[in-house]
Amino acid sequence: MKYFIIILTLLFAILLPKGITAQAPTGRPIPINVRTLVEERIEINEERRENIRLKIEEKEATREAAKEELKAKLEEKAQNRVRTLFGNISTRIESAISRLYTLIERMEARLAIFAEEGENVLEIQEKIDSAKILLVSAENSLVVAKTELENTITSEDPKAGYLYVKDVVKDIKLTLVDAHSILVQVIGDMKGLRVGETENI
Amino acid sequence: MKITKNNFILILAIAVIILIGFFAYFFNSSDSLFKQEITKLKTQSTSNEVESIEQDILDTDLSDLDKELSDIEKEIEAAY
Repeated sequence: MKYFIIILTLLFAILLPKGITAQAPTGRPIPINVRTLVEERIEINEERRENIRLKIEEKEATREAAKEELKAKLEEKAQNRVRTLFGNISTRIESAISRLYTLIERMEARLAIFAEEGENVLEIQEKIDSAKILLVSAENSLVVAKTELENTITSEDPKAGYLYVKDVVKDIKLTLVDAHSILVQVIGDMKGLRVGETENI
Repeated sequence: MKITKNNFILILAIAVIILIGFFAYFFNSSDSLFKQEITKLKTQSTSNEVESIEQDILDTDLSDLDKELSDIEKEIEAAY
């Protein structure tokens, strides 16, 4: 029985698979097949992490692209709204200039009658001419304002460009107000001619 | 109970129609106001009489020529 146990023990020691031994706390090296398993596991995990990272990056890129597209669409809508609003200003200014030109034509037609009647209309005509010059200046400035507005809303920094457009428009308004003031003076002068005409009768 | 529920739906429908009408009027009125301004600027007499010319000069209102400037500024501030 004793010999049997000894033989059994020896057989067990010889035939025991070496790979099953665990690493002793004393730091004995891990058997090769376990080491490979662990390395493989680490590699798989790293690969998985990398895939997840790439997927996150891809989603982020898609989200950014969608955001940019939406931003571009919003900017285009804002540009169109600005164009519409400026279109109103532009139409109003053009209509005002046209009105003042027509008033001048009527005044010059009346002035021609006064001139035929022998009235001295030179000074009045000079005032009318200065009003016409102001109207031409306003027309030219409007062309500049339209061009600059379009450049501004499509530029990188519309806020800075818009300040210039705003100044040009305000200047146009002041110019037209000055032209209108001249016409008010002129019609007063023409009424004076009328009074003179009445007195002479 | 059933009659009350029907009445409620009817009142709600009327309220919605009124609201739609209100908004339609509001949005159309700003456009028609602009058209009125332009029509007024484009309209004047053809007479060369001094009084007629004077009246048209006095009727020329240039005060609101640039009134959309502040709206444009708001749009640019908001969008950019």
